Amino acid sequence: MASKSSVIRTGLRIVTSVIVVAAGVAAVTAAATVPWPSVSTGVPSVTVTPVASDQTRACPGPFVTVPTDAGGGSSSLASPGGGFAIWTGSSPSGTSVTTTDLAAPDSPGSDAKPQKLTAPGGDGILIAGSQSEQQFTGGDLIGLATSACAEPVADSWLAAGSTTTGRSSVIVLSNPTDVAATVNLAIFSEAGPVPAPGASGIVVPANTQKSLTLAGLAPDALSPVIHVTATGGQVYATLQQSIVRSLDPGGVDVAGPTEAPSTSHTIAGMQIVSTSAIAERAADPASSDLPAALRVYVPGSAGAAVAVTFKSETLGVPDVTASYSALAGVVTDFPFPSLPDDTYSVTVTSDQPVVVGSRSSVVSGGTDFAWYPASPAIGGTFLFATTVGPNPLLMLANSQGTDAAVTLTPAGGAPVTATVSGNSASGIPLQTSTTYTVTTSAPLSAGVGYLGDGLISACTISPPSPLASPVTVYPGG
Amino acid sequence: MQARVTAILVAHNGADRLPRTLDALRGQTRQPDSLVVVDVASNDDSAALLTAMQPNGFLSSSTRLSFGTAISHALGVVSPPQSEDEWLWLLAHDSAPAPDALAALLGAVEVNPSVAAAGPKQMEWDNPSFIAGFGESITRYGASVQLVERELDQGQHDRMSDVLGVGAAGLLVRHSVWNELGGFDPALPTADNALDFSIRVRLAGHRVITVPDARVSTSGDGYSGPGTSARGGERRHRQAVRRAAQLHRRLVYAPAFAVLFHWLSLVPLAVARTFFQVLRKQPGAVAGEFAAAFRTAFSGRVGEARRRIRSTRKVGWSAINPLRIASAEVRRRNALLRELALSRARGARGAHEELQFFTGGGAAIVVAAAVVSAVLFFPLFRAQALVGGAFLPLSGTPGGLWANIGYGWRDLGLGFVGASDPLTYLLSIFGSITFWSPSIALVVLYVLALPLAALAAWFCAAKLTTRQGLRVFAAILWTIAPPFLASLDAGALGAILAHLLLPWLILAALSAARSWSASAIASLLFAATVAAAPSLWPALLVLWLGAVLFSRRAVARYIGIPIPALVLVVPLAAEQFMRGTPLAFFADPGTPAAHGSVSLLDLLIGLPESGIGGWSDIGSTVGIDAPTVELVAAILLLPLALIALVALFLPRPGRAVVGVAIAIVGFATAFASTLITVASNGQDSISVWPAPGQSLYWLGIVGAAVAGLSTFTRLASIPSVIAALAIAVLAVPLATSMLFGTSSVRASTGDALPAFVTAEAAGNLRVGTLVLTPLASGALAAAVVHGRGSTLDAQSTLDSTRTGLSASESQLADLVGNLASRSGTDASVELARLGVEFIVLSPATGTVSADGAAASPTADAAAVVVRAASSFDANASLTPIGQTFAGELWQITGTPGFSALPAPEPTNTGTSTGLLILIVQAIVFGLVLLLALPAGRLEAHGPRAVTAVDDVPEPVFIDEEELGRVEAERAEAERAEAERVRRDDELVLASGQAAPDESAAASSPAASSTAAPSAVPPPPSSPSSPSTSSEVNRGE
Repeated sequence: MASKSSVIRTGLRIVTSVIVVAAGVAAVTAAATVPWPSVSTGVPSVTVTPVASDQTRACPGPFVTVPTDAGGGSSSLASPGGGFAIWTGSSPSGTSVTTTDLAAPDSPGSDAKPQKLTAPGGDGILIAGSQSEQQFTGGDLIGLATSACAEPVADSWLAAGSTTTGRSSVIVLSNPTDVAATVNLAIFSEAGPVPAPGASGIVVPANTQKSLTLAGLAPDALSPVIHVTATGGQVYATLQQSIVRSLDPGGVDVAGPTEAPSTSHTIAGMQIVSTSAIAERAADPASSDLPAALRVYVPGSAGAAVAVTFKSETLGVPDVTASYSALAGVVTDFPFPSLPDDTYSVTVTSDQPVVVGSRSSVVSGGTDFAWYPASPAIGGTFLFATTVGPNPLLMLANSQGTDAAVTLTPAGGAPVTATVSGNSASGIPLQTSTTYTVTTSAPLSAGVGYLGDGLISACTISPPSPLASPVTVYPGG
Repeated sequence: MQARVTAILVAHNGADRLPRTLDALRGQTRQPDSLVVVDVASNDDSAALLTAMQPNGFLSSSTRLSFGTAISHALGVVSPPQSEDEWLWLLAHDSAPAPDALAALLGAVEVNPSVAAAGPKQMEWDNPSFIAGFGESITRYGASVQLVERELDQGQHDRMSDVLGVGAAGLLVRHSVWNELGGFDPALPTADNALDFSIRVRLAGHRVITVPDARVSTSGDGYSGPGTSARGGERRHRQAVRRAAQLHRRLVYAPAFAVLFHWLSLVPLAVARTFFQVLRKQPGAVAGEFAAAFRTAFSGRVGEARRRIRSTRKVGWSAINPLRIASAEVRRRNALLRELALSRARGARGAHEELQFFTGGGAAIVVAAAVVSAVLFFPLFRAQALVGGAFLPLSGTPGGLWANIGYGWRDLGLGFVGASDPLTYLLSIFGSITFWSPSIALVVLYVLALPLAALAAWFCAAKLTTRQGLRVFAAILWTIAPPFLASLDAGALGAILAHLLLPWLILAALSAARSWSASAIASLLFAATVAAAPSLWPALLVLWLGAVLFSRRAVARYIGIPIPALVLVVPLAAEQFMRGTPLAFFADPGTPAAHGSVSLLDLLIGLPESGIGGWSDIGSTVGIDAPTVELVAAILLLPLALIALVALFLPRPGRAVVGVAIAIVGFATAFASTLITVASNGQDSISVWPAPGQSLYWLGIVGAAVAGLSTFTRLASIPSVIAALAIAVLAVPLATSMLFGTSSVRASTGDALPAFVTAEAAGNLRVGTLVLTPLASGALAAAVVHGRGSTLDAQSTLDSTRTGLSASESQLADLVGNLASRSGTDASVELARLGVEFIVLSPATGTVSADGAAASPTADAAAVVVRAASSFDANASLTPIGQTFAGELWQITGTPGFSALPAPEPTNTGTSTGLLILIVQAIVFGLVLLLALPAGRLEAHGPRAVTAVDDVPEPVFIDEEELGRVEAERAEAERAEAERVRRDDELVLASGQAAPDESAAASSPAASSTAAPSAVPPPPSSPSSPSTSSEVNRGE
């Protein structure tokens, strides 16, 4: 009897244990196989579209140069005076644009001042301006210098200028913001980084322009490239260069910022003229910077293989390509291959990020030169203005595969339509001192060129600042 | 003159006792002259039995009359007394007099003409050699005292004669005196009915004596007296009746001027005594206290009773003073009673309760864990606070900590009104311990976590096994438990606390069967555990339900265990429920910290995140593919799992079954945790951390393994060492993460904000700082912190689990979006209006991936930092201060009307809701703490205790066979030792002296002491002193 009950008890225990094991196996199996519903509440967030800000543009103002009676590197600068013209416009028409002068303590005495254009922010409100200066009163300066009025930025690159004998370069930092900007300049040349103690911690007070002669920072640099970084306020950095070859004036130009290091760049348009005359004079060492050239800086530690494509704006002209090998860490000016006189867009591709700029010259009826920075692709609608200058030309480059239908509407004029085919360039003649609205169906790189007897200049058209894009905010956490 | 005796027998549902009583009556050597019986509302066959007795008078009552009232009714059919020699003999259905009882009583009263009432020696019904009651008295303050109670009758009280009072059953009283005094007080149905009557007899100038030769067996049915039933309900009822009787007598005996004072003090005294009763582990007496107070206050019988005394009193109150019991005697009795109870408790526990913490390796393993901890957490040496994971610094003062509990303003971000997390209460307690710098408490807790885990596990294992090796085995496995180390690595504060508390909770819950104190401690630990890890709520409720179902007589000590936890959590739960996010209740408290997902294999190993506790990374570094690592990890867990599995099929698998069941519940909890994603931090959704469930899972497995190994008679060390080593290998990367800097937790100075802000906060206590953190997606997380920075005690799961944004949060987002952009509005003005004076832009950091490796920041995150920084720089209202450890700092300047924010409103006592919550919580926790505190001499013991834990058998968690074996081994060792000593003595005494035999003789009883601890309470031991086991009602 007792044994029977103990057998039953043992049996019960074993059954209990088996049930527990089965429950464990069932739990794990269920966890592995059953598609359990999971509860997940979302993460609360808000995507904030910033209130459109006031549009601000800075126009760098009249040409400043080192007076001829002063030595290189002097901090005293002067505005030589000349035919200064500025043209501003806005869209839609009727938008009030406020123009105020920026203080220019480095070049006192000039009648014309660098200017700040502001218009109230709003959807679709665009403003643009550009300026030019020619017929200088000073003896050594000839030629045409044009510049766009552009937005100040925190980070920009200048790929222009030279401080060899006879070449005078001035970095002009215009701060149209209400906050003092602290600017650091990193200067690179054909010898690599240029140690320049005075190039950092440059304070540009609010609503003020500051000019520095590049020779004081990087003397005898053949091919400087300057990286401008601003904290605090932001600056519009331009580089003004004038050339005097022996006693012959070699021209003036103002170069705007080019694109940040990238593996592909587009220079919207380059006017190549007087190639045969330049070729004759290029044998003179003093004129070695007459032929058109591409300036390439490789910021990285590896050398870059650079491929350049020249696309003529004339229909049917085949593209010309050239390949260069750029050393790491230094700036190199590569001469262009032999090109017929024409307007070309220049597309640069590289296996390493590079900074590029290019230069061309005119020698007929006087000598002048122009710098062409790389320009970003702009889509949608944008506004630009032409200023006083010979034969203004809108230069468009399409780096995409698709055709771009472009409508060009002058202020108070009839619209002009054009098509820029994929991977090609196109030029549209413009009127001087006119504001144009451009609507494009595909992103284009755009610039405005001026070309006349002894006068050449160009400036790029920039897109609106990316700062105003919407941002997602997760509050509270 | 021949005495005439009228026996009055009152029966109430006494059919099972009556036959013996009636037989005893028939067997009296001196038969009563007449017999009057009263049947009081019996619904059994009492009436038939009484009729068969053929009484001289038979009364039947349909209402339930008290004993005294029934006798008064019965006297209606008895002719009034003609002489002083007519006596009444009062009997109840359960009073069986010995054959010579009446003769002895009459003999005593006949020689003492001044005696008006004589009480017999009341014997126990089933055990007639024990005295149930013999004489009563009162203290100086009027509390009733049984002179003799539950004592073996050895004639030790046979010289007792004059007493103040006697019991009602078998009382022989002069008929004329009874009539003169009006019988028993109707307001005293059971307790003190005869005592009060006896006192009035005394006051009327008569004597009351006890008659030792007269014996009456009473069963203590609770009709003629308060009864002696041990059932809990009866005990509680009896306590209430006794208390009511005492209060009634107090009002009746008091001088007239004091009556009002006594009456007014009834309810306040009941409140005060509630705390007292809880402190002396008598929570069951609380209801009785109030019932007695209110019943006495509004009975309306006091005046009548006072009149009765006034009219019959012939001598002063001082006449009875010599018969009162002295205070010193009361104290002596209490001390003896306590000693008796303690010695019985010791006897019930047995030798296995000697824990041998220091000699058995417990202290050694804790010290070893402390040394290992000191090495592993060396980088935290001298840390002021911890950050990372759920950790943040605490408020700077204990006052700041306590201000964050309860219902009030949650000063988190823009702030809101809501209930605090229960964890805040724990943090306030911790922080108050290191009151000079509250944050240090968490550093100490973190650094001491390993030894604390070892300590907890060792004591819990000591409840399960007597084998020192297995206790150490359990302590090691608990200390290196993967969920514990992973929580330390991830800084999951709640899971760490839960892991440290769970063994104590189990230990307290096991002990709660016998101890109110343990029950209260278990309820506090339950509250602390679920406060730290709300995900354990369902699992612990399931285990609690199981404990309640299997607790039988101890159910009262289990059923209340979740109450403090509920009181703590109800405000938060109600708010979450009303908000429509009931599952958010389970969100982990503390700083919301993102963590990786977890695979089923990791979950089974006990790891709350994928990556095999860091082995996957190590494997991929040295070129071992993931499946191989997973296979090895599974094999490492195998020894422990196999031991637990085998334990189920070893003899006596009960404890292993419970262990595995707990493990299953724990696994289900951990798995369910992974399915619930309710919290968020920045853009990260955060699922509930599964480690607390895994700790429970681990507890079950280790418990089952220990239970299984304890049945091994030998070779238990081999599997346990293998299992522990395997888990130790698994744990190495997690344990060393602090040394290698991969841990989420790191030391901090205690400052979350730059010193510039901290300095400003010294003057402007609630200066606002907008902290912007770039996210990998290119978004910004924006938080407003006040004062010296965000603190852990200010965190709220109500905030981390919100599903939508409030209007003010949307506004803040809009301001931040505009501020961090080139915008047409200057948001700094609005921000300044919100009290924000500083902006901190944290640097872009890489996201921490599931395996704990930090990645470099994304391009989007870097871009948004540049964008925000340049926008701030360009804002003329923002002055850049510079780069700080927390990020770049800007100050909003030039904004007029910049004012300091007022102190947060409402405080936790600022609203009626908040005040009510705090008061209720304070009362509940105050009572539970009183119940948990050891009360020492105040604790009630013995038959008058309302809740006598002594009678509840101790649940046997230790394997009896193992226990027997241990005892046998110990006896064997003692015998061997004695043998050796004897031999030594023999050697010493070899020079002709006789060898003493005492040592050998002394060892022989030990050899037979292998009996398991008895579950039956030992019978009342025979006292050496006459009053050893008498019961004294204290606390007047």
